[in-house]
Amino acid sequence: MTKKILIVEDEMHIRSLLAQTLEELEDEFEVEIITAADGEEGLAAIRTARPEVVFLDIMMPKLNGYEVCRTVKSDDELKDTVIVLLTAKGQEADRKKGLEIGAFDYMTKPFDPDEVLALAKELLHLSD
Amino acid sequence: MIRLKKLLKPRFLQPHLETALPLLGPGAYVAVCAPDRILAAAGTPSAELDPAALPAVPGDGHLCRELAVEGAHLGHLVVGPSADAAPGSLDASRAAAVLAMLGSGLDEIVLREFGRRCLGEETLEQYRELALLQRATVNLNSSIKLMDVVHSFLAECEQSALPTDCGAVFLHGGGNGRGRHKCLATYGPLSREDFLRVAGGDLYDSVVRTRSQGEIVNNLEEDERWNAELPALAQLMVVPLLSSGTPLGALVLGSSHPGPGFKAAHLKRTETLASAAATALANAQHFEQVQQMLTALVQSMATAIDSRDSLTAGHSHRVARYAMGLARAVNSANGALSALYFSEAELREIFFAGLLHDVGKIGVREEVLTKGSRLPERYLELVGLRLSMWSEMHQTDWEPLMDRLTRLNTAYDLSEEDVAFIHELAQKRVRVGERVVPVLMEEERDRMLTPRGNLTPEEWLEIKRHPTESHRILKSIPFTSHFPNLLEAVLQHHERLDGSGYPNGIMGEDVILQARLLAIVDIYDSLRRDRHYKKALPQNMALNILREEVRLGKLDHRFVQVFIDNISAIETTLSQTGLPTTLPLDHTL
Repeated sequence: MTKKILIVEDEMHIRSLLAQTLEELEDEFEVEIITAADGEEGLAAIRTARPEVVFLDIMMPKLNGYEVCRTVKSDDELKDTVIVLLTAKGQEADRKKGLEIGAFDYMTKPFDPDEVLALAKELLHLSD
Repeated sequence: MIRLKKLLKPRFLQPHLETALPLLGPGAYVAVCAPDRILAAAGTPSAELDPAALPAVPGDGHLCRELAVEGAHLGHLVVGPSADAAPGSLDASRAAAVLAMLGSGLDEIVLREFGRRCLGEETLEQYRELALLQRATVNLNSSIKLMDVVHSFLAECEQSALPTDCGAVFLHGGGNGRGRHKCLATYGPLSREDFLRVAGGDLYDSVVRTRSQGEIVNNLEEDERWNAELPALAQLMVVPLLSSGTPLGALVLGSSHPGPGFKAAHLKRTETLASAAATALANAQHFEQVQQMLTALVQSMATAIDSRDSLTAGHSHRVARYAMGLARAVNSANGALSALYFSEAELREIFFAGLLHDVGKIGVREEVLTKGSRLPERYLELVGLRLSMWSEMHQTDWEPLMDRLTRLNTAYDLSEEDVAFIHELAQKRVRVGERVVPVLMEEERDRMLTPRGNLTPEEWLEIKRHPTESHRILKSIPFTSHFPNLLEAVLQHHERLDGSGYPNGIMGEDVILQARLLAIVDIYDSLRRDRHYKKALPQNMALNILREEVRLGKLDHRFVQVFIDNISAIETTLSQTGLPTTLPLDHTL
């Protein structure tokens, strides 16, 4: 069954770079990469496409990443979605907050492509 | 080879083709094909459409246009009569026009997308390097020790996605000789000796010394600089480690299997890593050289102290090694001492404490330090003269008396009879010229009556000052962060657990561990060597005396036990040179 990875990120170039990085997974896995450009779109995409893994930016207009994460984790149907938070900040406080609201992991931008790929592979295996 | 699917997403392509379909009129289909399949299609493609056969088309009415980017073939755009259409119903000129329009549009999209992806790749590569540099800098600088930095560096190389299965780090010796390169560490199946052959070759030399720039050689056999120094290697990447522009050494990464090999991006990534590593290596090397200099300085100080007396030559060096050997033995001891562990830094501290423990003896007068007898030679001669005069006067043999006196002069203990004899001598009188003097003058008699050893109480006090003197001399040296216990250990090395030691008579818990170790080995070495007032004792007797000191409550019984149990191993450490944990950066090796 095809798995989905959703990228929710308002900055177009980061969105497209992340997508380009994750597309490499298509060689090894049955996976589709989908994208959303803000929090609202992202939440809607989670509801309709039910991705296994979501890379979620924090600083976004309309709905920010924390809010999306909270909403998803408090919804019984969606709470198993694995969320990885992305942000330009790298402070301990943000990391803690993210993990407290249910995110699985936390990555800083600019991201390390190899690290992203490794994490995504791990998460895809986990969701088997 | 980029796939068409990545440049023309089906999610866009499908609706796009469907929008174009009406333009073709009825009975048509339009499809975009990759070499192995149909990516998207509007209308019903002919059953005989074979993507793999294109540009050969199934029949009349079909039109085909190649999709390519930068000369690389991607697939085809195909227009033709649909499977359910009546033959001949497709308008050929319309089909051609739509094909041209669609085709030029898709060409542009493909080109733009390809360009965007190339930029993306470039950016991702930069991100990779940035992450690598951030991580590597932290790892490389987490230790100041040379071998830690080297292993950290090699670990980074192993972990990054490079097409390599073996590698080595070299450090160059002084001078221009190639034979002086040292292989510090390797990973993978090849050994240091294997890699040293590479370092001695022309290829390595040209890259590292002549060009000072990293280089990839994906086909070793064909490179004229390679003389099959290591046939097991198929591909190689050599990256010099430059510090202030001069090569400190080099990293060699190799592959034993032929394959696509190293790419320019790999070299760039590795050079970034190497520049961080070179700095860390230069620092570590410098640090170790300074450490070695410090050790050598302290050792020469110890030699200077010991050499004032020929019989104590080497004592401080031996005490230092014995003490460190004992501390190591404590580390591997079980039972009561298993919880006690001296770290590498603490072992060094003990070593240095041993070297410096007697530095205070510099303030003790030579004659006291080297005193071998109660009366100095020349005094004894004078007494001898007076004794011979007295003997002549009284018609007796003076030799037996003189012999006895001479023996007592260097005897350790005096018995009651010895004391009586000395008093008798002091009573005897002779006439020297006009004066009448005793054979043994008052001061001479007092000296002869020194009960133990050969030192008078005043001289004994002088010797006992040396721990305090050592402390005074050393206390202005900022040992604190590296050697927090050294001063205290030196000050306390003559203290005893029962409070009978000096200078302060402290006891029990107040005597720190390092001082307890020093005390044991200091006594041991003294017992095992000739001194002015006694001969060297064999090992078993020396150890028995240590046991006796334990029984009397003066020395730490646990440490003495460990010392006795490990005495052979500890004695062996005497022959080692240098501190065991330092890699000697002696470039003359």
